[in-house]
Amino acid sequence: MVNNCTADSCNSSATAEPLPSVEPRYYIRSAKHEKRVMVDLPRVTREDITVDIEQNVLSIHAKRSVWIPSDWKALHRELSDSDFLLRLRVSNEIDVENMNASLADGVLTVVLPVKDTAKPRRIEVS
Amino acid sequence: MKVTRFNPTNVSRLVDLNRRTRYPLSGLPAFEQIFEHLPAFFSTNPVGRIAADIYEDKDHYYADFEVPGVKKEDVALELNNQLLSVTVVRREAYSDGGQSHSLTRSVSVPHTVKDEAISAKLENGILHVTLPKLEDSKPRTIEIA
Repeated sequence: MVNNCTADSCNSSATAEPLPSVEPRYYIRSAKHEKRVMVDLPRVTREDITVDIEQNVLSIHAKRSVWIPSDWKALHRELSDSDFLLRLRVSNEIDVENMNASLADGVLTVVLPVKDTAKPRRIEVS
Repeated sequence: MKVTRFNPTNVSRLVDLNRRTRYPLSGLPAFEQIFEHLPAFFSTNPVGRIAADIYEDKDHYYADFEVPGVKKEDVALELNNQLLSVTVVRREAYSDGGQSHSLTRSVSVPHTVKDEAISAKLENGILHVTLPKLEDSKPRTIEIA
């Protein structure tokens, strides 16, 4: 299971992250064989994303390097320039070695496969 | 038995309708599922509004709309009476029912925009719209003879 990290349980493992950062919108989908985390990361390129897993905490950090030409004048601004940071606690049943992540249309999808040993099994009665 | 007069302009209904207009997606079943992880959802922009940035330079206006998870074919851009409307459909491809929801954002555009020359590009979840200014609306430097 992937659980949202509570502040006190995660701060202990936090390294010096650039601040300020905002938590991106994310969704979680669970199936028997895998969990999927979809994270909205608009205005982020693949090179600016780091996905780490350490001590059962999945950290997704995305840097937004927004470049606006100097002769552009802002008339109205709503989009944020803050970096994104998402921390999720991941259970032991995740096969960390086989995790993968992909970015498409500003959405990062992290696939967390469930270890074979953690999958439900039916035992035949002999 | 108490008889009350039928009031067609029932106040609470009007309020509801108004709310429905402002948040056209409220009450749709798809949202129940999206809101599965409620706290995270409210951490950035409220749902139901596409964030927009507007810039200008000498020759153009530029509008950026934040539309993560939206594909090119699911974007509709329309200019009508100086109102630029962006309508997107976000398909939750990973959900079981293949649910989708639609969002619209409109921004007003000055009448000095060359309508037929507007262009748009979708990149990293951002829709970039370039609106060239009409020649005669551009600032001109007048040489002093």
